[in-house]
Amino acid sequence: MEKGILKNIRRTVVRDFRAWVIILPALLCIYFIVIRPQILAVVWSFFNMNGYTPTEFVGLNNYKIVLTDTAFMKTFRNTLLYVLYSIITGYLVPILVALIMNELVHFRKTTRFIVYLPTVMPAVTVSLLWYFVYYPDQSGLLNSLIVRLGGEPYMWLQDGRFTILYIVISMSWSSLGGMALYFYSALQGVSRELYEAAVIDGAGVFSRLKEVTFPYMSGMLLLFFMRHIMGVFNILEQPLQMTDGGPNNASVSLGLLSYRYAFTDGTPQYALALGVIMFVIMVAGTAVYFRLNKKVEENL
Amino acid sequence: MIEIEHEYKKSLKKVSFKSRLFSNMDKGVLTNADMRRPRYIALYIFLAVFMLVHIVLVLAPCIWMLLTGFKEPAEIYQTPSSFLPATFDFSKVWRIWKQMNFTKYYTNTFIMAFGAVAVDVVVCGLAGYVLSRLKPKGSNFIHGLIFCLMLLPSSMRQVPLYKMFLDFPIGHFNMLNTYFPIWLMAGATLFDIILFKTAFDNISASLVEAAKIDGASNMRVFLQIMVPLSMPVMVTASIFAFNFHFGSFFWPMLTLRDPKVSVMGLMVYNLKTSTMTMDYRILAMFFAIIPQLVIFIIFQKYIMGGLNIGGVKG
Repeated sequence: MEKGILKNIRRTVVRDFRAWVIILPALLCIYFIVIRPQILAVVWSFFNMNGYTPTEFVGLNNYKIVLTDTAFMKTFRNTLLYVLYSIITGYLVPILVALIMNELVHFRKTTRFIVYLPTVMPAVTVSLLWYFVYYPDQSGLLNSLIVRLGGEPYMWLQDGRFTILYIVISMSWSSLGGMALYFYSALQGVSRELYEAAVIDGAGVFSRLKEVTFPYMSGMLLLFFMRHIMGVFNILEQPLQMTDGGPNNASVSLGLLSYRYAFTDGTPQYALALGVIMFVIMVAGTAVYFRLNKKVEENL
Repeated sequence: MIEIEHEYKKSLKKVSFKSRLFSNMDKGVLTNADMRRPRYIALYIFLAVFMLVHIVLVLAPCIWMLLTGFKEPAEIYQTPSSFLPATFDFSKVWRIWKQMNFTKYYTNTFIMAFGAVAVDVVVCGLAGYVLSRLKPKGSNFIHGLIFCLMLLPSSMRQVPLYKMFLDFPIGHFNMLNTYFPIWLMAGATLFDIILFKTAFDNISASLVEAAKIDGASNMRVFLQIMVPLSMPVMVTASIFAFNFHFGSFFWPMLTLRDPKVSVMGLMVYNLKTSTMTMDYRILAMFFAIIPQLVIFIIFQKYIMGGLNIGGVKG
């Protein structure tokens, strides 16, 4: 009897050991790529750094320098502008496109194919393509059209007032397709009977949208809304590729500022402090998300 | 019986062209009944026009890029500019291939991207298998941990990661100018671990039990039952991973400084400051899109289906 139990335990231990061996590569990768750098990022943000090596503990000094840097408030405002513009072009427009795709019954497959097409392009190609579309002389697409219509070439990306808007349009042009198709495939799942029932109740098209489609989609819409904001809040690649923050720092985002601290100015400690500050802002945002989510669920 | 069928066919013919045009309003808010009313037909046409405009806006930059790539520099700057290039000189493609040395870029990028996909599928696939089926003591904790880690912003890790690639804590070697940083990061694709776990959860347990009774080892069960039965998810995840890595820019920029190991994303970025003429720069961009385009056309079904998987991920 006792021997049996021992044998059982041994078998479990051996079985578990084999399982741990199989998952070990993934755990090592996760430790070195995610857990360790995440912890070090917080710890090192309290240190002075020489190159990429922490030297001495300086408390909150890095945070103080980052927050009092004159660039910080301007960059923060820029980042909020990125988020705001991209809510319109990268979130609301895809919803509209998805709703329309859901109604149209002709050329469905072709439409779906073309709508998704720009999403296939890598971000860096999209940035460069739009860099050429916005090209300041008449070799750019937009300026060639303007010149054709008899106007003067316009310095698109060099116009600091709207640079962020133009960058957001270019990135939404690409991300829109993927987003629209996520919504579209969710819309396809709305039960036909719900619409039929609404029709019998005499509901018009818009009240059907409001009473049937929107409640069904609200959870997903809110989730994507938060994810979209989080994604754009960290925006780095597009401004780096298209304008490098210019003209006159008009399009520098927090992500790009952090990149500059870390990899061009040789002050990675500020990048780390800025990273923690951005994280705190995002946690606050997520808290709001969960409260909103609760409210939406209560209302359903 | 035949008469009834005949009657039925006759009645079908009677249905007007208009209602046949809108005979399958099967998914949207608009129903077949609505489409008999002119109001809704007008609405439908309005929506179709909106869609058409959207499609034009999507395609215009792509077509412009293709046409401009084949124009001569003088053609680009002439006023008024022509829509079509004077000639489609396909030898230009070959010239630019040689000038930019695309053989190098394609070789490097494929090595980097395929390596990353392989690491992703093998490492994350095995992890998903352990979390889904073997479930050793403590695996629930790992599962929860992965979910928590997914919420953390990856941008925070840039500096410590870069430092680690400069000087790995074990053995103190430098990983810059190799593809190991990219491959290592592919092994920590948290989302794919959860994705594969969910896919394996859906495979019938009796199949696995039967194989185990026949004396199959863990790896055998993984390779001969789990992978084949979750092929659609595997293929979709691989495609998304390949597309991601093929065009990746940020980490290659930081870690691949040597031009010898340079990849496609960096090539595209360098075009911005290149001294070549506009047409060459635009044409060169195409080489960075072609593989994804081909994959998209071949595996359309998987990619579109994958959007459903992605929708569940949140």
